[in-house]
Amino acid sequence: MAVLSLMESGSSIYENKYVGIENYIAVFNSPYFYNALLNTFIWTVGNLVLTAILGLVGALAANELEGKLKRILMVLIMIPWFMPWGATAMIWKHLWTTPYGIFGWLAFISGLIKEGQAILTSLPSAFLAPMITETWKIYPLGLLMFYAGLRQIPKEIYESAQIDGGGVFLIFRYITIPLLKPIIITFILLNLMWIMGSFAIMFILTGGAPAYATELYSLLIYRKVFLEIKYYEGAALSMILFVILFTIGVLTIYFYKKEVFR
Amino acid sequence: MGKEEKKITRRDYLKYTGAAIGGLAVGGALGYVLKPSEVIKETVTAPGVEKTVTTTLKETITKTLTAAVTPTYSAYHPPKKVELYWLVRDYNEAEAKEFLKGFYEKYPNIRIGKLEPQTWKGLYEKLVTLLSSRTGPDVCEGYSPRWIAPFYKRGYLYRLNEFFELLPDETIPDVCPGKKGFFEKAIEAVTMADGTLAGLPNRMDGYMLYWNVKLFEEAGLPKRPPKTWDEFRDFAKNLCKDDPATGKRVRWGAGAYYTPAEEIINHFLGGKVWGDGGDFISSDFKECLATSSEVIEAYKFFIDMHLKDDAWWPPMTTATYQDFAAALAQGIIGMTFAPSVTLVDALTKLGLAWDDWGLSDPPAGRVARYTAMSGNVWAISSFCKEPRAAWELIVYMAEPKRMAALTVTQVAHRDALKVPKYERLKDDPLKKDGYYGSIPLINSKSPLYKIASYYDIVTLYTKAFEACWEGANVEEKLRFVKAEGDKILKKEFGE
Repeated sequence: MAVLSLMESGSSIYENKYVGIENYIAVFNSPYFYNALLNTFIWTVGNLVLTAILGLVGALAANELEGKLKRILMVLIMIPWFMPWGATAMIWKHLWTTPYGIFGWLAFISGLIKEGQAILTSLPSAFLAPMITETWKIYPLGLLMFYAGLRQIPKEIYESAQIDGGGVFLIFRYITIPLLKPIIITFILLNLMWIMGSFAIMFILTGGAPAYATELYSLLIYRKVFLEIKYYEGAALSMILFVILFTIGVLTIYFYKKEVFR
Repeated sequence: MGKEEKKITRRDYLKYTGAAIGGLAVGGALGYVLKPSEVIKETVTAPGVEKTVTTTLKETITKTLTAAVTPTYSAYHPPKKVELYWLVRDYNEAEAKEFLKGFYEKYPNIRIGKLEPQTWKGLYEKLVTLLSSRTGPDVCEGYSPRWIAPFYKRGYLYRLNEFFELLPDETIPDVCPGKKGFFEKAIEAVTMADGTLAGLPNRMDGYMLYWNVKLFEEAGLPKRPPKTWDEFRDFAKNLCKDDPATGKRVRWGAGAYYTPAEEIINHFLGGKVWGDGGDFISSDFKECLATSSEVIEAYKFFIDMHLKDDAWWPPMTTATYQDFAAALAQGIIGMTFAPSVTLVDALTKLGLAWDDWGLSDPPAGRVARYTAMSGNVWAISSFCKEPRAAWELIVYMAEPKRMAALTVTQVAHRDALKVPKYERLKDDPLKKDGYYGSIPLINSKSPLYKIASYYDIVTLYTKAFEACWEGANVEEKLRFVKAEGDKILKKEFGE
């Protein structure tokens, strides 16, 4: 990939010629690159926040349940995670379609969508709808991780805090969150990498429409390689993404290491 | 005075002698020809078999004379076994397997080592992956004519000019198609700007206008499709209907579905731009014409139909095929554009009454009437080790009867239209000069279809259209398209 990113087609398509950083220059000079980066940043932060909130709330709720109901609920909660990405995207695309899908119809009758508009063709809904879909798909992993973390926290700590007069929010802020920190950091790191490389949901729901407004970095790579047949530029884009993720990963692990082994 | 003696000159002598010899020769020949009992023995020896065949001189002369005017095709039989990889369209698979039995009998040394069916969806990406990695296929009949230039210019496809010249002018039944029988537009569509023939047309179709006859009647419109784009817009406005209780629009005069995204040019934008005398890139391939008056006018025309008239089905840009088909079934769309194959197939599968829909040439612009091309093309990969063997497969399958069996509706060869399944079309008003559909209107010469960066350019135009669909300024978006388009063309063609 790294070698390919420094090449271009020679006299024949099957002969590569070395062109140095020309592909990288083309990428950095392209407005689509910055558009895709910005979209991916918003997409990643939005999904991380939503997934974390849903996952944590779900884990806290699951932690309070006991017995058969808990086991049934945990299985049901995991269903989105087990569903294939393509099938998930296709089903949600129908749900979002205006006015035939249920969410599209609800948005229409509630006045959120004007007549003649469609959720998947108009901003900001064309960005929010896939984000909600992605969150629905991946939040079970966060829930499981947080739930596992919560189960590790000894009950005696909570009991002591309650005896000392700590309320729900204080306990959550000063006991639960600090003790869950390693899990939270691992959650952020893993999901960051997955969400930044996310492809299926946005590809199937909007394909980057309208007018590249929802084009993520992964969709840009796909477009360059498979539609425009510019695999050298696609390789350069992939290398840039690798460097970004690698840097984030190294910094996060460093931070995590610092926090855990303090 | 006495009688003059008649002298026989040398000239006379030669004249009479020549006439006598000629008469004898003709008489002799006639005698031999007409005399049935004269035979010529010929021994034909096949391996292990000795057979004596007797032929009359009459038959031999007849055979010799007719051979001079009978078309011939010299098939290539490889000396050693050859295996080919054929990526076949999924709907052709059953017929392909059936025809391969006859192919193997005729070509015992050519075998299809891998016969892989592929749906239309994902075909382009699959071909890009396989061809760029040189892992196949050797031959495929599923290429869209719009992919031929991008693939050929990247060196993926084999030049077929020399092979094409091997075909006779006229079809040899059960052997091969004749060169002259291919629709000219179909051949133009697969001919590059430098004259290279990069594919052999299999199916060729023009995008056509579909109009709902019942809705036209309900709206009080004439029982005919719109003739011009202005009339198309008027008809569309008249076809719109609002719910009397809520005042919300429940029917739109026009609508379309397109995917991959670039087909917006092929569905309707191209027809308007070309019809008004414009194009999307210049004929010398150096300039993107996004800011030309014809393109700006075309954009404004369709955008205004959506934003001002509310006469265009709104969810066009991201609707699924099922949404579109459902909208047609529910009578929500009055007119649409599609290749004749696509919608016929869709409507049939939906169980819609085909009589409810009329099929016509698209509307005419100020200058001309044009439409975009759709279809399937045979092509051989440039890395195919046995291109001549691959060509024999194509020739066998492109024989008109087999071509008709392998294609759904619109074949690319006149002789293929003579098969019984097209009998129903013989009185069809759209059948002219032996074709069905809008083939003569195909703008197969547009420079847009001859460049490697086809997808780059049309995606720019499509994305700009999508932005304008949401209310963006048309001129501003098209200025961006021009700036980016010029860069792309400069990269491909230089200054």
